[in-house]
Amino acid sequence: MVANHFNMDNSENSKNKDVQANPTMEAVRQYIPLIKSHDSVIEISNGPELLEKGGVRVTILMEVSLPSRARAKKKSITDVQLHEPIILDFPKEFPWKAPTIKLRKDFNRSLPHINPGSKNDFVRPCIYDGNLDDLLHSGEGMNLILNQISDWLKKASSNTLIDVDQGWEPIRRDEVYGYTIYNKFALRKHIANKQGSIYLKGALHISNKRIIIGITSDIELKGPTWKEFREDSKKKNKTSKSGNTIVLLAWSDSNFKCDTYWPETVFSLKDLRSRADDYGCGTALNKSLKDITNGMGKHDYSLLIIMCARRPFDLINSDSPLEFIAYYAKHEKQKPEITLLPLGHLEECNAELLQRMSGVSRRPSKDIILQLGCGSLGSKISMHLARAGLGRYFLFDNKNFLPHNHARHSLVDFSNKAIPKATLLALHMNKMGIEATPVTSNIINCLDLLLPKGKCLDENTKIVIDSTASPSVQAKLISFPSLKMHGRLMHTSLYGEGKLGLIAIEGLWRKPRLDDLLVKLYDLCIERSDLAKILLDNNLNVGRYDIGQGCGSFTMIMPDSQLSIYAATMAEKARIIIENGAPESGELSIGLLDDKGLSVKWENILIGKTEIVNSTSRNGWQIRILSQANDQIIKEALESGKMETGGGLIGSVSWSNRTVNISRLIPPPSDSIHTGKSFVLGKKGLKEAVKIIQRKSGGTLTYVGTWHSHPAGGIPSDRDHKTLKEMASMRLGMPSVLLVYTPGKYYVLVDEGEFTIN
Amino acid sequence: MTAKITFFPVGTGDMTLISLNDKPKTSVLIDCNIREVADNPDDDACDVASELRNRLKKDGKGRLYVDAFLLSHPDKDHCSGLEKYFHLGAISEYDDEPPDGEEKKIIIYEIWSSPMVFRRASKNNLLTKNAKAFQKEVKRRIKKFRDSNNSATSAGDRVKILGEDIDGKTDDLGSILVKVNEVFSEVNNIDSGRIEMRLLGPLLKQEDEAEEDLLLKNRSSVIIQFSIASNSEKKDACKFLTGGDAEVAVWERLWEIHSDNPDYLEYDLLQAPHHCSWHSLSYDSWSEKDEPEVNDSAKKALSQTRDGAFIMSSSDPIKDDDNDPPCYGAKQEYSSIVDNADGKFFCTGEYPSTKKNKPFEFNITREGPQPPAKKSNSKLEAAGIAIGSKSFQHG
Repeated sequence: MVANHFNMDNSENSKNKDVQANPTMEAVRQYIPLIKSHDSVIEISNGPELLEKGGVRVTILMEVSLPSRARAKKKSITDVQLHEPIILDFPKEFPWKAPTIKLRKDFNRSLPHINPGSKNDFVRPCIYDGNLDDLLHSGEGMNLILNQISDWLKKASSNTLIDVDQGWEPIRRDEVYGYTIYNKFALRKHIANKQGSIYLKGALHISNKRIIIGITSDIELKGPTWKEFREDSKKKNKTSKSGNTIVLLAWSDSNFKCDTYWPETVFSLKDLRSRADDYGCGTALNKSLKDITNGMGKHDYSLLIIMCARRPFDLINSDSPLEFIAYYAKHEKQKPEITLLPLGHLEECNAELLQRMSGVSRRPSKDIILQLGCGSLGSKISMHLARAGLGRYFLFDNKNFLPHNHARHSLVDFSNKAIPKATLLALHMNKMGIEATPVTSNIINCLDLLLPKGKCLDENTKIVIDSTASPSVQAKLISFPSLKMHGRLMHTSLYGEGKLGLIAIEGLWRKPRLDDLLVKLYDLCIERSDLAKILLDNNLNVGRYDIGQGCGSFTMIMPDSQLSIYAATMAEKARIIIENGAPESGELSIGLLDDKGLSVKWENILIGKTEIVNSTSRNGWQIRILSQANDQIIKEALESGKMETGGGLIGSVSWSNRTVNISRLIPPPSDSIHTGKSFVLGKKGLKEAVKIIQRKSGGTLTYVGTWHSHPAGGIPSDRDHKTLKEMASMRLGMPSVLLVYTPGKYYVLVDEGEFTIN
Repeated sequence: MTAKITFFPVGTGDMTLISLNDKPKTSVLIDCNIREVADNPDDDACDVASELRNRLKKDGKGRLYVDAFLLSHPDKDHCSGLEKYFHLGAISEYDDEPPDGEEKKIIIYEIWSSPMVFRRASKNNLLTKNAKAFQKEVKRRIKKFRDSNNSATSAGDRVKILGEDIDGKTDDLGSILVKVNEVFSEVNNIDSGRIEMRLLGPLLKQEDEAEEDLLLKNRSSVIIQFSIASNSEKKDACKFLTGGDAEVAVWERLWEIHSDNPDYLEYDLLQAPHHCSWHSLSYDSWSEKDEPEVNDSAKKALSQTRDGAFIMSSSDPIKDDDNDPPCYGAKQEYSSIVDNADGKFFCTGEYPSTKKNKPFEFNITREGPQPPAKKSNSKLEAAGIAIGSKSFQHG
């Protein structure tokens, strides 16, 4: 900057001195030996020299790898010469910014991959797909840039800049004046077989930096009232302009194939008309332009023009040969000519775009995802899935987004209106082009209303994600008959201030069901003190924390980043189920945070089919025998042969769902008596065994009844009924289970007993 | 995709792939020399097996294949790795589940062989394991052809014998025999219209020559002038002349035969015979004779350049020393030939640098073969290697 300042008011003499002091010049000089030694560089033919506007110019002569006969002629049929002069214009910001590459002014401009520019400018090739500044800073940057130029010229000489194998290369719009955002699938639907044009509703936003953003909807305007699109009818805003506009879309006959690559040279209406003829849509475009001019009169107006070129084959990374080429057109009454500027295309955000960006296998948009609970965990999981372009969402949460939610929620509420979390989440998803419906009443009521009617739990439901941390919601979910429950239920929760994360996924036809999985989790605690310590310590789990004067919230305290460690895995689990389907068995995934708190180690436990036995006592109780207990019963019965055997049942009782889940057995005490016709359960050590289990499972599991085998088959005997009565009378009104195993069939008696007050 | 001719860096040896830009992307592989060093991941040698596999197509069952494989002559540096990488035998015996660590082999739809396979091994005709395996496979295919009453066989069994043998040994081969000076355009029974082969050799026994001289195997190399299209309009975009290890006597004789029709020997791209050996140009020894003389006729035969023609030496880097092949003197002769045509001389062992080689790929354009763009390798890497190979004293 100092050097520039001196340059302005100093004579030629001092210029040399400044050259020495110019930091850009210094930086470029350091690169000269590297440039000189590049295999393709014959010589540095000029420079480095300071440019008037700052920056430094170096001109090099590069040898191009021409085809043999072109080499003999010293130039190719595309007029690329054996020795091409290349200008490297280093900006003031060099070496942070890359040089601009320029070719001679008479370089063949009809080749692809050339930036738009006028005939009097140097030709600027697009030598690299990405950002040249970044290329400069990857590896040996200057070498890579020279390699790219060398390769570009080689391809230019044999006219192979477009790789036909990859598809048609759309017109380059890297250095455009702005973008138009549209859904190309929606736009394609308007393209009819016969040459034609339509008007679509659009919007324009011109920022103070003169960047134009045009938004093209697919809403067709039939017979537009031109008046409302006139500039003077819109509100004026000095810094930026926004407003509705018309989008003119024109296309050719279906048999008109445009197989020539036209570089961007359209800057006037005349250019546009001529290019429209090249694309085969000239007649349609001209007719519409005439209508617009008539309609707008002499008023100022601006609009978007999109021409559709039909290419001989599909565009790169596309399944369609239709290329849309967009322009911004502005008519000002003071100016004789309409201004035309090329606009790039940005795909409107939608599921397809998100899926492609996420690399997920293409999914139909019919998949339904139910997210129960849109708090910190729920919002993160479902936003992860939505960002992968997966699913349509029903978002359940009746709580409002409050200021303290910003600590861990995935969203920010700009409205400050304390809108429901579900609504906020749906708004975000809708913005991304993902269908989402918020359900903001009490979850339990909503589930009651929606589920039986099959409104959202229809056959397209892929997954129901419970992130409510609410036992009542879980109980409600458990209560749904498996036949009405489409999609897998996945329960997610965190324990112990983020020390443990749980993912519980139900099995096929809800065998195992969520309650089975949770009982299994507590059963694990009997042997696993590390889990018990976290899961069973109520102090660790949820506490009431002040979120304002007199206002509290029951929540878990942990940083957002830690919560995200779990949420990402939970979302991955869900994504895999949505993409690949769920396995037959149920699954418990337990994630434990390591000592340093930086990573979580997940262990996965597959859980087999739960055996379901309904009470023969006709009082509506259901006994659910977890697969490990079931296997154990079958094994013990088999080993005992013709003798009856049995033992104690350990499990958990749910009053609301009238269910007993059996997780394990207590082996028959040593004083038990086995005969061919009877089994007497002894009592030696039984009480102690039960106490240990109760203690280790934090009271979640207990002794709920007995089982015994009938090797020869047969329903529960009179003796069995009597025993149950006896047991029930001792159980203080808690239900008692008497389970009979016969080969191939279970019978179960449940007695609720009566509350007796001692 | 453009049609391509790829020279793999296989040291002083040959392995060249022609890929056409017809619909099925027809491929012709000329010789193969996959040495053990190239299979060693710890060695700097280019992993040519992977480079080759990456350029081949797969059939419906996921098996790689070449449409035709030409073995110019059965020397070690032209057929190494054949058994290891190519399926030899009936397709029905193909192993779709190779043992761990091995990859599925490449199927050869049609073999092009010289009639040398009919000769017995002798002290002058020592065959390596790969050469014997090749001979056995060609014989299997010929038998298959004869068993089917000389009618067309299917891909995987097809064979062409390039050139007649003495004593009428090849007389009953009918449609699978191609005679010297004939032009054929079918590759694996398909004429794509994108390639033509003019068979110029082998030039087998002359009347006054002894059998032993002939059996000096380099006389038996298949010599072909390929015409390769850049697209359906430009049919002879590239003339590619390749002749295995053919020596001076062969080229001298070829010039005698074709001096009236020099376009038979014309080329845009020549594979310097016998890895740039002096003996393809001269009867004298490069290292032993003080002023070894170039044979004018042989040089003429190898000078029928089109404008801008390239010559490629498929060899180790060529140094100014007594080595032969590759021979520095031969390189100078070839350089003078291409200089007269405004062309250029290349060497597989020097691309992109003598330290680290990559396959050298010519694109076939309407204006002839186009070499790769000139690029510089990482200079830091080269610098590291450079100082890494020297000890430095420090005081």
